[in-house]
Amino acid sequence: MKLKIVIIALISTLVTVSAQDKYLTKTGYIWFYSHTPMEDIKAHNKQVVSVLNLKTGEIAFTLLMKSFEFKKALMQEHFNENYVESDQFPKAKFKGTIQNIESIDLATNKNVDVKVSGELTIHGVTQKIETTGTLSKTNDGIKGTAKFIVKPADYDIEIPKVVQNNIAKEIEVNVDMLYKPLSN
Amino acid sequence: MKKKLIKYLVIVSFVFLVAIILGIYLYNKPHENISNKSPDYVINALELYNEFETNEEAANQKYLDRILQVSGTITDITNENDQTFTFVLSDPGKFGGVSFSINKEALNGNSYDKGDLLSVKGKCTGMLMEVVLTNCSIID
Repeated sequence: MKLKIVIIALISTLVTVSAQDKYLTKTGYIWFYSHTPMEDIKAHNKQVVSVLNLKTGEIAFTLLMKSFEFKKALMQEHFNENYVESDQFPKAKFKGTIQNIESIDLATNKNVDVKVSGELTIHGVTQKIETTGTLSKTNDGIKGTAKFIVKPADYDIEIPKVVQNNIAKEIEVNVDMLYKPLSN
Repeated sequence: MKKKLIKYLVIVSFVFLVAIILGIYLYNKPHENISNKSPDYVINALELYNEFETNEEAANQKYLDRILQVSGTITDITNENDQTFTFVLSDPGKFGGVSFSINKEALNGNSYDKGDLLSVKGKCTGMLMEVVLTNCSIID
């Protein structure tokens, strides 16, 4: 009898623990910023899908290139039609891991610095990248932020000579996510 | 002789001016106003989702950048800071569907609940976990 109770208690703990491992957002926010003396360009995507597993450290992002919104309609057209060719390559993805997830304690309401490494695919080209970021537990969920540089040239994105001075060789990408527990 | 030269200069300057004005207009041209346009397709949310699930590449060819009018039942509503509302439309109890986000102002004071029928018009940008629409306006 006692053994049965212990087993049931153990199983319920396991179930609770695993329910807290996976987190999801479908409204993640990623924006990028290109700065040149000629022009500053910003584009915003507020429909990023991302999953986070706090047990294994696995983290993945996927977004639609056509969901990036620019202030200037012409820029948005050029971005989609000429640079990232979003008809051929509609999505960008990242698949990676948060380093040393076991040593990360998110119980407190503080920002924890993390290192993430993995593979980023843009315009059909995959590159290994590594970046720092922060994770924190809030009342609304798990907040994750990161900032890293993407070079269009690394992803075969060709910028025509005419506008070469308007678009930075290094684009600053910002990530701002709020994950909610994934209920099974 | 001089008259001809002046005439020539005037025409060239005029053409030059037109080119500049055209350039400025194009650079500053506004985003297309989707709420005023008639949709390329009128379709049920779950049907659209199933088309993407069956053959994503064909669905992309057919629907990317097109203006779609999608109807369905609200199966999920989330909001961020009461400012941005994200809806998922599908058939009741079904997984997947069509997802879109909208500002509080665009709701026109109406409040919506899960289970409500809704029609929305927007531009299709592709599929992630659901088919995604941007620049949406709710159609009553």
